[in-house]
Amino acid sequence: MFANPLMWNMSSVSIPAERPSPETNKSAKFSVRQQTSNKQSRTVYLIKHHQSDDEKQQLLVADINESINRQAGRQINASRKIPRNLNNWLEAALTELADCREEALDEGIEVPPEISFHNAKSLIEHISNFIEEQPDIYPMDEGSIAIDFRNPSMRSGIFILVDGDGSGALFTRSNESKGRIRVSDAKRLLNENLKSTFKRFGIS
Amino acid sequence: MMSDDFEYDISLSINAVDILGREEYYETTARKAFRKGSTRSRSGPRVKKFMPPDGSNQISVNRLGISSDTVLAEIGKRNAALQGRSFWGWYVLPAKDICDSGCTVRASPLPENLYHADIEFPVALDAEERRDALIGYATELAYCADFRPWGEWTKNIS
Repeated sequence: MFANPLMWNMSSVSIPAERPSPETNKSAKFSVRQQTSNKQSRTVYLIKHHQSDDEKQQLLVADINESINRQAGRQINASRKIPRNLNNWLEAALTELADCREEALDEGIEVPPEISFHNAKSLIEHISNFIEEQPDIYPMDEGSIAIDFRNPSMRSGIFILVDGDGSGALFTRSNESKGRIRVSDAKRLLNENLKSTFKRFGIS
Repeated sequence: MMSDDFEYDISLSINAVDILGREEYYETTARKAFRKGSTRSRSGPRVKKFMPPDGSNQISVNRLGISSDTVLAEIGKRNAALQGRSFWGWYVLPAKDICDSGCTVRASPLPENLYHADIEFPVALDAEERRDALIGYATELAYCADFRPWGEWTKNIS
């Protein structure tokens, strides 16, 4: 375990760097600031990246590990635990979202209007910050777009519907319960309860 | 609709363990469903596969298991061809899961398809928020279903 890095006596240099992006998210950019702790001879990387605090913490801990090993002259195990890249599916999901237009045409259903795409994109981008599993994204009837998260092992899931009139709904299902929330503006689904809802239905 | 002038010798009784299959006519969706089933990363048929058409409270399925898959696949191919499509497989689920979802299933043999059945949704045609209610039931069914591909096309998928 590591002490709170903020408690260390840090000094020195800022090294702006572009770090190779983990997994498939090639667009992820990190600004890494290297600082040395005089007291404990440890190098700490402060990572600025527009992602959740949880992920920053994981990246920080991993980098601290690596730094300690390097300074101790240990060979760094290439298979060290790589921090989760929570949005490594974002790019694929946005491609799938874009494909909804063609898919709707192919199936002869109403092509979702621009507001459906816009709202769906906002939701997907937000959720990708804390969910690892990629959803299935597809057009539904009446110009809607479905964002479908499953937990197959529990036969549970969260089904988000972004409607063509800008409204939205969230359907939940588990062995014990099922429910629905409908909102007049789909972006209102982006609230702090969303994360806990995913957790409750076993989707991480 | 059932015709009055044909005979069949298939029981109209559907048991809890009987398997019902909904046909898939779209290649893209079939491929995704198959890949999902393989990796279990995003498992499960799409909810829209279980949505009734406008103005209806029921969806068509076939009673798998009371005839060979080959016979039922021929029916699937014929139905798909009527829509200018191909047949890719079935989304299968047991009758028990259908009943547990709150829907009902009843045999409804047709002259051209003795194994036809309907899943009926308990939602009034003029119900308020009817679409959301239907989606709720369709979600239940989709979560219980698995994709069973038909044909050789899966061999080329890694």
